[in-house]
This record gives sequence, C-alpha cells and structure tokens, in this order.
Amino acid sequence: MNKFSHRDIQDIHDLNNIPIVSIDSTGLITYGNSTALRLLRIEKADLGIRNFFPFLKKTHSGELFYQTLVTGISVTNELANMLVDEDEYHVTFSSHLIEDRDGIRLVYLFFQNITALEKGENLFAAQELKFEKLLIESRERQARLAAIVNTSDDAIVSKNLQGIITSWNHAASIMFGYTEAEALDKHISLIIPPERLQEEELIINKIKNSERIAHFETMRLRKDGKQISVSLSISPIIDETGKIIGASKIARDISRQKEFDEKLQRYTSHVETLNTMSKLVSESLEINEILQRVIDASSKIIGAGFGIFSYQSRDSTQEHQLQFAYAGQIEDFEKSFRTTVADDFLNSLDLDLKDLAGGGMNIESFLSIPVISKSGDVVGQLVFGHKDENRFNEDHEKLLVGIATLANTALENATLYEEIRSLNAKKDEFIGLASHELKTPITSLKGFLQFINMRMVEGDSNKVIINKALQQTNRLSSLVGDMLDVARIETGHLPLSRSSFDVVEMVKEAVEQIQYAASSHLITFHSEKPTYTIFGDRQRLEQVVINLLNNAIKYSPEANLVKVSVLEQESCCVLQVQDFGMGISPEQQGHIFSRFYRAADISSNISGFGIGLYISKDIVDQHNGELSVQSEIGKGAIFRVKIPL
Amino acid sequence: MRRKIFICDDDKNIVEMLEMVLGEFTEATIISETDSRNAFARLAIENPDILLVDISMPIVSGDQLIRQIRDDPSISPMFIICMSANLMGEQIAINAGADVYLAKPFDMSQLLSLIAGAAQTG
Repeated sequence: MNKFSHRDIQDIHDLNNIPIVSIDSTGLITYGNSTALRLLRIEKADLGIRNFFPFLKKTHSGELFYQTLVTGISVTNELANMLVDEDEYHVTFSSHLIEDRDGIRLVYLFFQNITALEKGENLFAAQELKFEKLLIESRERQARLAAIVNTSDDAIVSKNLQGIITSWNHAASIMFGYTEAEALDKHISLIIPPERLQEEELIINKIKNSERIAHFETMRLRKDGKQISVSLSISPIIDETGKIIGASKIARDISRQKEFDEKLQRYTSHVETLNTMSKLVSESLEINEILQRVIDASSKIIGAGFGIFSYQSRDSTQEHQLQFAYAGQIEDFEKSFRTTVADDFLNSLDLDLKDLAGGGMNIESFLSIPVISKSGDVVGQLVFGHKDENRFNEDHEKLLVGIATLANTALENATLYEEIRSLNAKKDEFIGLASHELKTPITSLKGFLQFINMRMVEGDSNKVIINKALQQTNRLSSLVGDMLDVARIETGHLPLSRSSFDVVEMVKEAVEQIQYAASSHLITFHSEKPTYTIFGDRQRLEQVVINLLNNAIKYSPEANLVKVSVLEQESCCVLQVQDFGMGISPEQQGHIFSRFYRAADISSNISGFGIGLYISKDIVDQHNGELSVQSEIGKGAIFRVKIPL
Repeated sequence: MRRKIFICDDDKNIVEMLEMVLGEFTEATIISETDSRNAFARLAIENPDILLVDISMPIVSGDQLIRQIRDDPSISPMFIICMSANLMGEQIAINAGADVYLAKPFDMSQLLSLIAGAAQTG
C-alpha cells in the first residue's frame, strides 16, 4: 500500500521530460505527461477515453503490459514499435505497477523514443556502405584508367623528379621500342636524343613550378636509334599532401601528321606556283615567249641546273616545226645538244640520259616531262638536268606535269590565235584581190559602153539599149562595192579618208546624179543655209545619200516625188530624204539597219542585197552621227542623217 | 604642139578602152605601156604631159612609178592621174604624189573633164 495517491505521482511525472503514461487494467490511458501527449499526439481530454493498445504495433509488448498489470512484475528497457497516425516509432519502455493509497492499480510506462537513434545507426551503416562502394568504384576506376592508359595510342609515361621512369604503358613500348620492364627505373634520357637533353632540365624545372606543358613538339629517340616527331603534354603528379613528386607525360607520335602538314604545305605551294605560272603564260600569245617563260620559271622552281622546252608547233600551213627554249647554264650544252640530240628530238620527241651524256654534259639528275596536247598527242617535252645527284623528286615531277598541262593550254591558245590572225590577214587579202579582180573588168566594160554611147549620134535607136547596159554596169559596180564594204565592216570598220567639205554641194551632186538616171521621180532639194561644212569622208557620205535616194525611189513606185533637205539642229547638220511611198511598219523599222534585211513583202520586185542601210549606218556611226527613220504605213518615210558640225 | 598622154596599166582591156576613148575625144597623142617595168624608161624618153597610171601592177606598182618620177629631177613635171580598184587607192596615190585619183570603175566624162582641166592648167 502506498501512501501517495496516483495524483501525487502524476504531479511529479509532469515535470519529467521523458514520455510517461499510466494505463488501467483495460488499457485506457489515464494519464500522460506533456512529453507523452506530444509523442502520442493526444489531448488531455483524450485521457480516460483513448486506449493505449492501438498505439502498440507488436502484440507481444501488449502481453508485457498485461504481465506487468497481472503479475506486478516490472519490465525494463523492452523494445517496442509504436504506431502514431501511421508514423512508426521505435521505443524502449519500462513498466511499473503502482497501487496508490486508494488501492487503484495503474501501470506506469516510461518510454524512450529511440527512432532517431536507430536512424543514426543506419546512417552510419549507410555511410559505411557508401565508403565501400566508393572503394569499389575507385578500384574499378583505377582498373579502367589502367585499361585506358594501356590501350591508349598515346605513350603515357610517368617519372619522378629525378627523371626516373615510374610507369610505362603499352603505347610507349610500341612508340619507343622499349618494353615496360626495360624502361622502368631507367632515366628518361633513355628516349631523349643527346642533342635535346637540355630539354629535360627545362621540363623538370617547369614541373617543379607546378606548370603544365601542353603540345610541346619535339623529337624523341627510339630504341632502334631512329628519331620520331612527338607532341608532349606533361603535368605534375601531386601526392595527398600536395607535394609534387613527379611528372606524367603523354607523348603523341606526330610523324604522320608532320608528314601530312608538309604535304599540305607542298600542295599549297604547288597550287600557288601553278597560279603564278598560269598568269605568267596567259599574258602572252607568242609561242616563243610562252616557251621561254615556262622553262625559265619551272627551272627556277625545281632548282634545275638547266632546262629545255621542246615544242612541235603548227604554223598556218599546218607544217610542224620544232621550237626550243633554254634556261640555265646551257651555253656549251646547247651547241652539242643542237648537233647531237636535236635530230632525235625531231624524230621521236624522246630524249634520254645517254643522249645528254653523249652531248658532253656532266649530268647526274635528270627529269623529263612530256607535254601532251588535248588530243592526247605528245607535242613537246620539258627536260631538266642537274650536275648533282638526287636533285629531283616525285613532287617536282607532279608539279611539272601540272605546268606542262598549263603550258600546253597556253600554247594551243597561242597557236589558235596565230591561226586566226593569219586567216584574218588572208581574208583581208582576199577582199583586196576580189575588189581588184572584179572592178577591173567592170572598168573597161563601162568605158567601152560609154565610148559607144558618146560616139552615137543623137536619135540613134540603139542609144536606149546602150544606156540600159550602162545602168546595169553601174548596178553591178555598186553591188561589188557593197559586198566588199560589208566584208570590211565585218572585220572592223570601213576605212575613212576625212577632209573638210560642204555638205550642200555634196548632196546637190548626189541628187543630180540620181535625178539623171531616174525619170520616174522628181527630186527636190532645199537647204536652210547655202553651206554646211563638216569634217568627214565626202565619198562615203555621198554613198549614204545615194543609197537613201535610191531607196526612196525604189520603195515608192506609186509616187513621183522625193524631197531632200539640209538643215541645222542641235549643232548638227541634218540631212533628210523624204519619200511618199508605202512606208515602214514599226516592227520593220527595228530591222532595216541590220545586215541583209529587205522589206519582205516587196523584195521580190526590188533588187539589191539589202545591205545598203547596213553600210550607211556604219558610215554615219563612224562620223559620230545618227541614222534614223520616221515612218507610218502608207505615208512614206523620212530618213535622217545627223552629223555633228 | 599636140599634148602627150601616157597610159600605164597592166590590164590590156583597160589600156585598149582608154586608147579608144582618149584617141577619139581628145587632141592628144596617146602612148601606152602594159609592163610597168618598161614604163619609167619610156616616160623619160616620151616626156608626156599627162600620165594615167594604175596602182596595182606586178613588180613595179603605180605608186612606186609615181615616186620615181617625182624624185627624178631630170624628168619634166607631168600631171598624174592615178586610178585604182584598190580600196585604199586614194591614200596610196596622193601619198605617192599623184595629182588626181580616180576610183575604178569611173565615168569617161569624169576622165575627159579632168584631162581638159589639166590642159588648161598645164
């Protein structure tokens, strides 16, 4: 029997900050201090209402309560799992049965929430696991790293600060020819060429200063004594205390890259050379000059002692002709070459070293490149020589093949140009000849006819016939003249012979001349001023006027008037020839000044080549003038010649 | 005294035609030569008043002949009419020293008036 009431005991427990509850024999919670209420998340009002057992997860702990209640035997530090609003707590508890002075038996439970504690234990375990994992990972990583190091194409070598090799991968064995066993514990100078030993000092000094060395291009020595181009990247190795204890070195074999770089550089310089050469040869259209330029430049480029360019050119008569150009010190050689070798060259375009040696030259290096035409024939040869051995290589050969192609193109162009020039000269010659040959018989024919005409007495019935014959002769003459004019315009312009003359007088003469032959039309002439003096070719301009007058008559068969006038306009002398014929449609107006154009619908009745206006336009153009037409169908046409005064 | 006209052209037809025309329509004595190589020697002997000469002749061209005449002080001056079917004839003729140029084919009336004019000035 206790002298305290439960009330007294509970007042004391209120002060305790470990959770304490009391439960009765049915399991009802009759008391909970504030810590316990917080733990169970219940209110004071719940006391005497809520049962404790639902908070217990494990039934055996319930049994322990019963045990305590029934037997009065206390338990200490029993483990139990509690469930509060789905949250699980791990607790230890002690139970104690107390009967107060009123004989009321209550079990007091003292809890310790060990959830947080357990979690802490788990964390430790987790950390342990993590460390273990890290350890495995680290081992794996090391293994992987080792695998990478060993399978790397780059040699990876480490050394200590004394330069002693501490690791040596597979690539290093291949690159430098030493096995790992051979290299380990040796000094790094094993793979450094003697002349580069001072590099190591510099490298070690940099490493000691924690500096990295990246892509340092140098040479290293192989076991077999060969030197290779390598690119080195070197970093310091630092121990856990931060001390530099050595260096790791990655070496990449860059021999092939170097080779490629050199190739690229050579290629670039070849392209540049070819460009320069192309420019050089395209500047000339003379075969001899091209040959000389090519042989001079190419001999210089490949450093030849001498060079010969032989080329079989075609002249205008298609005859082959062998031409030579020489470069370098060849004076003595040239003579013997000409006498001993040139004949072979002529026959076969093939020259070999024996021939040259026979020519009395001391030649050790020799290079010969054929020049091949577009049609695939060998048309020439580039030959180079040097008194020293091994002066020429494959690169020279490749470059010269390019140059030979360039040279051939330039030479073919020059040949074509030569051909065109010669054809043009022939054409001019032909025009001159045709002019002479055609005009000479017309001259005597015309003279004879005029002689007869002059001898005839007035009223002779044959006079009409003779006049017709004369007219036809004049027509023939002017047709021949026109033909030759066109041929000359095609090759340039009509040659003009200029002088100062009076347009009015010239036009008057032309009008008179045409009026004399044309009885069908009346030609009127009017000039604003008595004279207009211009500087030009009188005969050619008269040809224009005559052409315009003839056209005016020809194309106005229904009319009987042609008006000719001369006036001044915008400091130009303007000559107008107006007819009252069929007129010219706007579409036709665009064509009438072109070659061989004739008004289509009427051409069958009107003779001529249709080149009169074409020639006239060329003549007027050459005088910086303007030949134009103004016309409407059915209302005739006005042709205007405007020549600057 | 009758005037002398010397015709030099390698084309026989033209020479024949000119002989007929000038013989009929002028008062002059007409002399002709178709081989220009002989022309200079004959000119030196004949001493004509007027020379009617073609340009395009083989071996000795008309302009060469004109220069030879103009350059030789022993040959007395004559009126030279140069005729040609050559496209550049006028320039060649005047540069050589001809007085007048006639482009072939020409009108007989033109030739006759030139000769008449030369007679007045000469």
